[in-house]
Amino acid sequence: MDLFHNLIFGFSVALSWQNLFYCFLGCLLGTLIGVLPGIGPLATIAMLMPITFTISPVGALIMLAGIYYGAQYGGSTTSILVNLPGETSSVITCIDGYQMARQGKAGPALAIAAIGSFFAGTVCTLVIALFGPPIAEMALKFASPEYFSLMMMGLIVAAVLAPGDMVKSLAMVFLGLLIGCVGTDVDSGWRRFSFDIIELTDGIGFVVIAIGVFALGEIVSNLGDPEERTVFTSKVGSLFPSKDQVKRSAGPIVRGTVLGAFFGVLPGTGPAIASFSSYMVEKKMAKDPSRFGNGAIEGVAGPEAANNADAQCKFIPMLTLGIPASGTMALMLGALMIHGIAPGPTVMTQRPDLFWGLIVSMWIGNLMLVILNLPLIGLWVSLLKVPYRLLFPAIMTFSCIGIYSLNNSPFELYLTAFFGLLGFLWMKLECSPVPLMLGFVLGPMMEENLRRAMLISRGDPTVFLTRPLSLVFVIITVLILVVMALPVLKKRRGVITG
Amino acid sequence: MKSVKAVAAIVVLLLVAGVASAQNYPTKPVRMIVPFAPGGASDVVARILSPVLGKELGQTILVDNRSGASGNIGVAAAAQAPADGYTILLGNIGTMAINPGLFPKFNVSPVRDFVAVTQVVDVPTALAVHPSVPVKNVKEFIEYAKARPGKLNFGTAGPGSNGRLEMEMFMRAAGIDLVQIPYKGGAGAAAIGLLGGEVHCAFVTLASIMTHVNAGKVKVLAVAAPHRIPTLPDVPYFPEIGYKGMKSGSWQGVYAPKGTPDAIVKKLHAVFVKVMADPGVVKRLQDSGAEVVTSKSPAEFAEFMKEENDKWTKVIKEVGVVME
Amino acid sequence: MKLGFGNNKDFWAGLLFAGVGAGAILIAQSYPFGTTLRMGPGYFPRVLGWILVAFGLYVMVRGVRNSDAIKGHWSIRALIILPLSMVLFGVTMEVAGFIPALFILIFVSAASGREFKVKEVLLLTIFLSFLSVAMFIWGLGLPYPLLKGF
Repeated sequence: MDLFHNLIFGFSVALSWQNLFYCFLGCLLGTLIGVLPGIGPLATIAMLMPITFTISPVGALIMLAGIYYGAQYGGSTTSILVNLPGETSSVITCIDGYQMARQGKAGPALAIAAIGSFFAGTVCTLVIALFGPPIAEMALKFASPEYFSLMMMGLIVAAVLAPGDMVKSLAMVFLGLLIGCVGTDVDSGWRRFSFDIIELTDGIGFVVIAIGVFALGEIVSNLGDPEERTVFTSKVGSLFPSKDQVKRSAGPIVRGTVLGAFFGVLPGTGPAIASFSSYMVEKKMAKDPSRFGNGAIEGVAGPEAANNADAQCKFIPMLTLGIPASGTMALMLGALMIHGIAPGPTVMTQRPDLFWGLIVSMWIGNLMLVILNLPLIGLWVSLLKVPYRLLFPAIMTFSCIGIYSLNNSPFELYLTAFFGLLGFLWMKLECSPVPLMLGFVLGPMMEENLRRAMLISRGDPTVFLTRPLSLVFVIITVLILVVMALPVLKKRRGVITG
Repeated sequence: MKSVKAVAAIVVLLLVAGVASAQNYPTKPVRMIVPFAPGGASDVVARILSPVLGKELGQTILVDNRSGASGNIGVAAAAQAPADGYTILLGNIGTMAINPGLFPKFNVSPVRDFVAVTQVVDVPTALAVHPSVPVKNVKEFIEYAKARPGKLNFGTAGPGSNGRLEMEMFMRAAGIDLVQIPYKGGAGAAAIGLLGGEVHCAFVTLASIMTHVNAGKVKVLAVAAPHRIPTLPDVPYFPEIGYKGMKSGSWQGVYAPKGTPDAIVKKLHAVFVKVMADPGVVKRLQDSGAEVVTSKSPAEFAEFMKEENDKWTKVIKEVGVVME
Repeated sequence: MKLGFGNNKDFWAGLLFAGVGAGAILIAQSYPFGTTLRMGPGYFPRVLGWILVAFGLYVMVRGVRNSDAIKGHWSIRALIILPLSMVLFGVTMEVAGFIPALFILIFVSAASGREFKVKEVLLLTIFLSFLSVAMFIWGLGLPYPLLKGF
């Protein structure tokens, strides 16, 4: 029982008073910055790095990791309460989480988000401990054709399952893809749609669009309809989820965890993809998909589990191969190297205290977070009782500071204001911004991987069919299309024969 | 007559004030602009330096990340800041030597608008190949590539990146033809492409691949450095095998806006030299894959930067990279 | 039900899509298109532009045929003031520093609501400003001057 011994050893490291303290500190700080929009774990870890020079490498890593996954817990809070995504990965939670809050169900939404995250965290800790290295090797098999086919599949599934008006949703996906084109083209260096504005040469930030469209658009609309808003602040129901709500969330949490773990291991996927895909899967599996977008608890449970699983599994390629799967992981890698530790295939044998100590501390941290977050729910929910005329300037304040801190420059604020106007317009024209966000996230990656695949294959498009993994995704995509088209075809035939 | 006297008096006063402020400098926090996002290689260097630098100067160092447009946004912000020594810039090979050639329309010139203070680090870069390429050294690699013109790929972090230009320089010197495969998401993404075998070779920083070299997942054929690297004693450095121009990797240095008083520049130089000799700083930088390199004088660093500028501008012209 | 174009939801949505698409095609004319095998920087934007134009036209025509009115209020006051307060915050940050920027932001944005009690807003402004300074400047150590020039 190697694993058993290793875990015991890990506990002995993680349960030292010092490491417990660092873990707690990291989780607390992570929750705080998770709640704040714009300011993410990346910036916080960068700013705190000098402090960690003076503490042991294990303690430092435990604390930094705590900030990282703690932020995933905190990120959902403001999404649910005021439609303000605290982290990139919690944008999806806005959709149904905020609707639940409007119906007086903020408490259950927050609780399910925390429980889902905890479950995902626990499972992923085990996954890292059991299968870390082989999984990481597998992830390296993913090259541009696989990424492209996978994203194509995601986009088509999204389009097929688009909410409400399908034509408009598709148009929003394409609009998102187009907005994703803004910025310097990586192949040629051309600056597309930058209008000679130097700040636009790096493209538009996800946070800018998310805060503009979701948070700002929502405030504007609330101020137009003051009666509606006062109604839902006055009714705050139960703080904890009912049996039925827990039962309905169980499946989504498990599926979200699996999806999140899968995307987490792949270095080429961003933070929002896991929660997006979980949302799409849940909507597809639901008996009554129309509940989604109107406060379905499954739409909170699945994505929240997925984004925590994604965050945690990003550690796998970093720890076992020394490959940073995201900017935050690159920074952790840097922090470790500064402490004289080179993560990679040898770290498990050379520094077992670090490897197993960290893994066990992640589980302890997740436990702390759940214990920390559940009592906080009451506090958060009581925030909703604050009169809206006082609440919305506060939301504006935190949003503005967060956006300014992205680049320490005011440009992003102007852009957010612009997207706020657009978001309101879309709301009025009943164009859902969710497909747009998906197109925006997937577009640049799809373009990059498609062009790279074509470059490497020297212009041979069969590359997507000759590589087995890519072929699998292509087949699944075709199957989905066929399954989706069948009822329509049947109906047609019925019309013709009947 | 009166007005001339008044002007003279003001000038004298200003001069005295200037000298006085240089003597007391610094009396308030110093802002260090890092033209890249938190967590990047530049930022890490800034975070390692800032606590020690703050102690030496007796003032807080505020690390101000102004990222965007390949670092040009931060460079512009620093150039526009008051030249009083309270704003300094941590520039690197990209912002101070490559960008001027890449972005001819960008109206800030590193040579014209900044005073060089000192170089601080050099991060050696290496020509690395995937193990599937059956070569043991640079000579074999060139032969292998010559037999397969236009068949081998190299990964880069974009058309104007350091790694791309280094490879172009090498290709020209060696007379070989490889195909560029750009990756978004910086040098890290290109290194992943190399590890996964999607590209055959790349110029990458040693720091990003060192563990993989030890694990046999990547082979290093030569390093761009002025001497052999202690951790890779068997690997030659480029000047040693005839590539004279490839003697520095990805360097970083400190700058002040043009017009910063000489006395302050001298003081900053002295303080930075002291900070860079701090054993804690040296150790942390080394562990993160960077070598400490300081300039003997601000003039020497200015000379170095000029040389680098000319070198890269020439490569950019030859290759024909344009960032429209 | 027949409606003027002024309030026709789908007509305007379609126009928006088609307009953005057409604009993208126009701007992207100057980017090299490349070939399908070796795509240039103009390939994606132009293809996407055409698709958007097609979708836009379809939605527009559908709107004209089957008109549907825009629902709800247009909160013009908030729509103008809130984005403006963001812009003002940005400008003031550059010119005057963190605290003046916060004051302007909170005051102006509060003015977009229906009720505006000066005393209450002033208290809120002081409270939020203090909270922000404590959290972001002292706590997280963001490098912003509280008041420029001092």
